[in-house]
Amino acid sequence: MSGSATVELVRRGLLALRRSVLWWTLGIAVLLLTTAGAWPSLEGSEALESFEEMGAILEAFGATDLASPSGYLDGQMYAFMLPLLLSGMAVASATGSTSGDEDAGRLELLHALPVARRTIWLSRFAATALAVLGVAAVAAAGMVALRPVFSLEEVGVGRIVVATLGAAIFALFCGAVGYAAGAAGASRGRAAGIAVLVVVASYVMAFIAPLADALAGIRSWSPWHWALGEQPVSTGISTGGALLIIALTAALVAAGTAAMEHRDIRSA
Amino acid sequence: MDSGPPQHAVTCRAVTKRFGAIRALDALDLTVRRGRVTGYLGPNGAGKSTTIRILLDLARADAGEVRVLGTDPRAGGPALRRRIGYLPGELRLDERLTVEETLRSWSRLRGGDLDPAYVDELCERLGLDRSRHTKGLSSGNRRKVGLVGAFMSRPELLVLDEPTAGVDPLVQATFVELVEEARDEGRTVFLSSHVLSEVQHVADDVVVLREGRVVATGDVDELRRAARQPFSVWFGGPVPAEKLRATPGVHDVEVQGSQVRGAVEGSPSPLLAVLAGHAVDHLLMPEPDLEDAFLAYYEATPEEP
Repeated sequence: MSGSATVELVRRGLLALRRSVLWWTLGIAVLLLTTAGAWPSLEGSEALESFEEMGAILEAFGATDLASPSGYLDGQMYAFMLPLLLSGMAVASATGSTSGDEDAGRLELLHALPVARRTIWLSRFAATALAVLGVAAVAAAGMVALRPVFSLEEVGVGRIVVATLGAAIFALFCGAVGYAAGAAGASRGRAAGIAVLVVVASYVMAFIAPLADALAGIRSWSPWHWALGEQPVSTGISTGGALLIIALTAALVAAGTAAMEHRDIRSA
Repeated sequence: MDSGPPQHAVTCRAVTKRFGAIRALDALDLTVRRGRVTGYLGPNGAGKSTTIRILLDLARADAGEVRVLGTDPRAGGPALRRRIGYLPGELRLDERLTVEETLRSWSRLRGGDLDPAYVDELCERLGLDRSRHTKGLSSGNRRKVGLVGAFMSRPELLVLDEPTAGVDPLVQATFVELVEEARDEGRTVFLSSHVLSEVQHVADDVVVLREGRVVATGDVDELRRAARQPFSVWFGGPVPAEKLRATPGVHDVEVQGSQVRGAVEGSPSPLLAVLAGHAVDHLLMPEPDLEDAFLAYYEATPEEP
């Protein structure tokens, strides 16, 4: 594997993602601002406590303790919306830059150049990972900066960083599902569909299924739960769960890449 | 590993490739001689692009043996592809880049040790505007970008899929020059086309593919010699019609007033000898149509059951 070729491919991959990164960053920034910005007017309001009486429904969105700043951030952002948005970004980027480019015939000439197939594909995933981690870093920095403005100082920097990291590793896991499906030969549409299915199933297993007592155990099988727990800001994330999901991500990327090495590249 | 005969740049032995129920290549045997220009001809869907994609390891054969520059394409990997320049039949560029950025990126991926002066020369000769965005380029201009990409590293083997489809005659002429220069430097060119007339001026050898099998191979010079060469003569005096009909190698003589049309097989010397004894106003002997020669071959080949 040639070093300069890898740098060139990752650079090209990031350039290709720049426009979509901008839009995802913008979307997450809006979420961040409105969530943090609403806190001063909601803090101490009875409305939040009465919300808690809705119990199960809020639990389905990871919101169990909306009256405390940490619980509020979990319920409004870190337990549901941020992981969902970052996953969307990761799936779109990972599939668009691999199976999407292959569908469009843009991988044909690249694979005829003196670069190993796996270098091309792994560079594309690396570009997605860098983009997702970059957007996550901006989101974490933004929230840290907004805390004093909207009286959320009580929430520690470490808690925000950890919750954001949990969302990012879950997103990359979902991106890896889409990458692996495409690398194994699925079209972009199918690969993204499979990845979205995994996101939805993980969410349902983590939050909806446990609402029925009989299905409570199912939560421990959810990648969403491994990466984020129930309240990532309030309680932090589990190291074991995080390592498990990182290992699964690596395994998916490796397996997909190996499958791609054994097949034909689709032409336009 | 068996390196294959060194005089061959490409050999395929009994190569089969299926796409579902369709057999794209059916026990294909193909040889491309080193240091020569080989035209790979066949109608659309005959399997030309499939063959080419196997040579570049973009697709893998289901059965058979492939050697490119002495190496199996899959085992050869990037080291083998460094020695090959490829122009895809359907060239899709990254539309976020300019032509300049595209060429620079390819150059980096080729290891960056290319001769920039040669890249400049190629662009200039093909009339390629490097500042343009690849988005919105005409298919002819996209082809030029692809041609620069294929030639830029002065590779030992050039594999060009329909290189002149959609390019104007001036570019076609430049292309022929580039191919001839490559051959003169001892490099090998393998180019596909669906019409012989596109490659007969540049190819030394011709391979004809139909339904995944090679149905004819030939040396273009031999073919040219074997082909009947049409002629038209306008006489200033009496027309020696009977003499011409009796001349060896002369066929299909038709007389129309002072004009005689016909075709010569083999050497035109006997015809010229007859004409020398008469008053000839005008003589026309166009390039023989090799397409006809090959079609004659096709017609002589019985249809497979």
